Amino acid sequence: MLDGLQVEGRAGETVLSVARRRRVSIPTLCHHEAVSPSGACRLCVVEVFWGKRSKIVTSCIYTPYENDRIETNNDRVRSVRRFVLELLAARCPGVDQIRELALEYGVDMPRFEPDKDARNERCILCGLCVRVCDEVVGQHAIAFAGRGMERRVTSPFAEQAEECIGCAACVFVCPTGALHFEDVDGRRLMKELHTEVPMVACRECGLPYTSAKQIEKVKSRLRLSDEAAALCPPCRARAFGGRVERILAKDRKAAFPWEQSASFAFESAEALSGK
Amino acid sequence: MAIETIDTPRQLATVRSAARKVLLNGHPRISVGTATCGLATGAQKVLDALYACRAELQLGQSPIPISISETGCNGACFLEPLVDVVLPGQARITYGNVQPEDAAGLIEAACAGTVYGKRIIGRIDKEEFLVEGTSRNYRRGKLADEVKEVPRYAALPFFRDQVHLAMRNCGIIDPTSLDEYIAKGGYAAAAKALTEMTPDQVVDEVTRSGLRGRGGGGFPTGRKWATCRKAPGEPKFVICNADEGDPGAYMDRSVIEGDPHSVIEGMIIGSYAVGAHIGYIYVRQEYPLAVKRIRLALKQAEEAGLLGENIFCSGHSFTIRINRGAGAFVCGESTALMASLEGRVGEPRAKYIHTVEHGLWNMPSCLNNVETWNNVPVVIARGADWYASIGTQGSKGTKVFSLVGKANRVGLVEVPMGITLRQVVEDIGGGVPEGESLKAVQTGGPSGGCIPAELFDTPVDYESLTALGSMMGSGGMIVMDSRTCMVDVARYFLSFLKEESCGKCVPCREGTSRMLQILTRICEGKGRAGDIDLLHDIAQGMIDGSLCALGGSAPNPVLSTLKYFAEEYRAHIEERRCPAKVCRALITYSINPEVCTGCMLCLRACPVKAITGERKKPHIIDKLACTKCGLCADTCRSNAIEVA
Amino acid sequence: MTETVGAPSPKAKPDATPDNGHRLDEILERYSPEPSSLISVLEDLQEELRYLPREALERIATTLGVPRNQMYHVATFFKAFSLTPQGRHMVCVCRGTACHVKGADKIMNKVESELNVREGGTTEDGQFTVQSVRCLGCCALAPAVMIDRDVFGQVTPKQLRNILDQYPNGNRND
Repeated sequence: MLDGLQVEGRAGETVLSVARRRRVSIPTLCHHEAVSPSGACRLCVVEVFWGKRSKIVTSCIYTPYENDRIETNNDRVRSVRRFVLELLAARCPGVDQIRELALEYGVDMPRFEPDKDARNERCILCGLCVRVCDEVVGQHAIAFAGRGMERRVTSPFAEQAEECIGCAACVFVCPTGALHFEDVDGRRLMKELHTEVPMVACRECGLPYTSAKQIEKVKSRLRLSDEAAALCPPCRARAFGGRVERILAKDRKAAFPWEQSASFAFESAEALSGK
Repeated sequence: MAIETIDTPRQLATVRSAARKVLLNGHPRISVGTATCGLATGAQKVLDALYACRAELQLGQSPIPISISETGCNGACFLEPLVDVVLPGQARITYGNVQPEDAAGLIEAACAGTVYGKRIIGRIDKEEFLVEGTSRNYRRGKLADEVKEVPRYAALPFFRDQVHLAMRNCGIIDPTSLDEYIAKGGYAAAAKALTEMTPDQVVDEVTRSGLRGRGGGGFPTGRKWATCRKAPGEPKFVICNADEGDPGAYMDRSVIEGDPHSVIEGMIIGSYAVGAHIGYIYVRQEYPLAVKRIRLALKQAEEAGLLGENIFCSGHSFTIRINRGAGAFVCGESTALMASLEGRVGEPRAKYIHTVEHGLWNMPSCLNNVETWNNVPVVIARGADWYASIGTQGSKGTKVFSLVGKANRVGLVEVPMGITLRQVVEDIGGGVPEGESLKAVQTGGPSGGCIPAELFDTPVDYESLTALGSMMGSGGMIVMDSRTCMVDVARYFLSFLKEESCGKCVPCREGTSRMLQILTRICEGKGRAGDIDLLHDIAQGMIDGSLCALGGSAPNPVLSTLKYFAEEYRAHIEERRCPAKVCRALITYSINPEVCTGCMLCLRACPVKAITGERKKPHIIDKLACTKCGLCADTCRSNAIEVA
Repeated sequence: MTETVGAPSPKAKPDATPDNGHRLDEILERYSPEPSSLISVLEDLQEELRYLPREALERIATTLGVPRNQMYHVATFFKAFSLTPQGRHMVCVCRGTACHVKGADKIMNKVESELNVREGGTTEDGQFTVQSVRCLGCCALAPAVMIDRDVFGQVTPKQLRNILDQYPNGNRND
């Protein structure tokens, strides 16, 4: 039962997945379809009732049993979400997404003093960047470090991460814009990760559009020829008349499961092949 | 005595009789308590002195048949160093606060078969074989008068109400001797389980006994085993949680240091019951002696064939590995512990999927606490009905508590469930020192709460303690008197939890920090109206929203002190006053000029040089420089220093 | 695989020497080369060298098949590990509940003032690192202090100078 309606879920399907299918809205922060669920932000909580008992669970992980009755938006659930948002708004007062969501739950002014540097804090430690880099890109370049309030996202030893291929999937998956990259003089600077990655230029137009490491990675997952790899997506589309894009489209799911937040280079490829 | 392999119950019985003969060989036996506490109070010097005295006495003569050995802690930590002497034909006499100077007298008395006149604590008349339900009187013939004068343990307030099941061998046997463990009936329960019972029968026996997890959760052990047994998948694992993170609790340390084989035996039985062939013991790294003891015991068990392939020719194989913790309280949580075993950080995960079905490397895993495993051989050997006859309806058996803090008699006490807090704290613990009044007891560690003295007639069992807003927890029981500030206690626990939070989930990571901020402000005299409500709000959010029990129970110390000691919070917030005179920002130190003798001791003791004065003239404390550390008051011999 | 029995030598060598690579080899040989050995290896190394040098960590990650980011998180998550060299002697003041109630604060204050170092820091001469620990499990002897592996119970601030003086340049016996 989901909010009073009888529903059916697939075997092993989470409450969140069922809810989304049924267009029941549940807020999330640390969740993304491309990576494994974490259950860290606690925003997606719902209350499960069975028999005389109930408990609060995170809908991104919990797979319901038969006869579970689930409420996605009751007072207790909203209370937890409000609490989480109040804490996050106090942690990151400068992040608009958090502030707006907090307002929706009735948090106008957090009752906690922000820390000195809170204005600049944007990271909510959701771990999406770490998981994307681990599970999807497979480079393991981003590290959590420390525990408790010392927990932070960084690169191993806070120095250049040789594993990083500069794909910027982490930047795109971050829900609060805490990570940035900047392309300067043919180098991609991953600022918060203390890392820079040299880019390679398109043989045709000269735009430094990707890094050598990233090209190697993509080639290892797709049947992409050297000539195709040497061109940036717009030039490639012109040169191969969309054939490469059709290849990419077929293998796309395998190669770019982070589709919605792919590096801008591939976003333009999609735009071109979208027709 | 060389250990040959023990491949059958019959061979075990043979080793047992031989070892028992040695144990009861009619020679004087001296044992010194050299567990961590014993060593910390100087037991090593006592032991060395005993060896030296014995060596001196036997110069040129045939060896004196007095055995000297080491043993664990029998719980009377306030009396350490402890030395037991078994006087053949008479009794076992316990001596406390023993010093190296006593060694000569002890040896001489043991040789002569008499009682050493000093440091006497009590006597035990029998060697107990608890797992068999039998005992053997030490006495042969008449008991000497001087022995009769030594009070029996049963007459000593500290020991009278105790029942030692988990601690059956602690302070009695040499924990480095497999023979002594077997002599006391050790491994017989494992032999019985593996050769006379089916795994289902073992599970059934444990279930009917009513044994519940002693680590804090209180989950019915038999039910956990049954679920693990039924869970599909191989390999399965059994795990011993020896992380014992609750500050103030050291029951598990003492069991491992005093009776490591009992844990191994319990795990052998458990592994057979659930179908596991690999076990892990996860020991806190802050316990180096416990790690050493369990490693040795493991080696001995392996060499004796009690671990490994085909134990007791039953077809069941089982080995154990030891892993150490690395300084993270959160690793006492079962999913975090398993993550740590896998080489990952100790971050818990949601327990919607139970670890008994998907635990270590996603395989069925049965995790239990040290004390739980240690109780298992007793349950199997004596039977579920016998075990269930001890304790209360819902809480069977006994529980070991670390009774510490401001009690007069501190140490480990093992009592039947259902005894009242008052009996434990006042009868066994002797209440608080003269001049102070008993205020509260804190149970359950950082997940538990404080129980005020007015409620001390509550029975000690899982449900009753939870109903009061605390919990049984692993067994820490910290006695607090009128000089303990309950707001400071709440702040202390929050500062602990904030450091130990793994940081994964928002409610706990941010919530513990915010709660600590508020409590710190209150203790500094900067409390505000609305702070109490805010604390309650945060508490509810953490209880409902946290990922694991660390965050979920973190508010308990605050909630329980708010419930029972609201007046202290009010005084701190509204009056900027600390009734217990603990919170440094709210107290002032001053020297009473009428009492001060001008001895200058405090002047020298002050680390910030806040005291001025001349010889024989009253000294003065500069209130602005004073850090309220209290060192001056400790040094003053005239009681001239006042705290307001 | 059963772990080698017998803890490594409790006498940690005072300075990091070029010999570290050899010592790391020894340690790695004690455990099977898989991720689950990570924490045990780190613990043994920490005990040997009193900290975890970066080069050693990189080698450990490779040998055990642990990605560097996981290794770094583990090395920074657990309190037992230090990425910077610690003093010859670890002074651990217990801040367990019983010790707190019996004045652990005062003991820590006195230690800090005697050694002229704040909690968590190392003395200038590299002799002592001061930390708090929760808990040593000597609650009946509160307040307690552990220096290396020696535990002192019922410590009073007055005794601290004498206790600390037992640890000159070398190790105290045992």
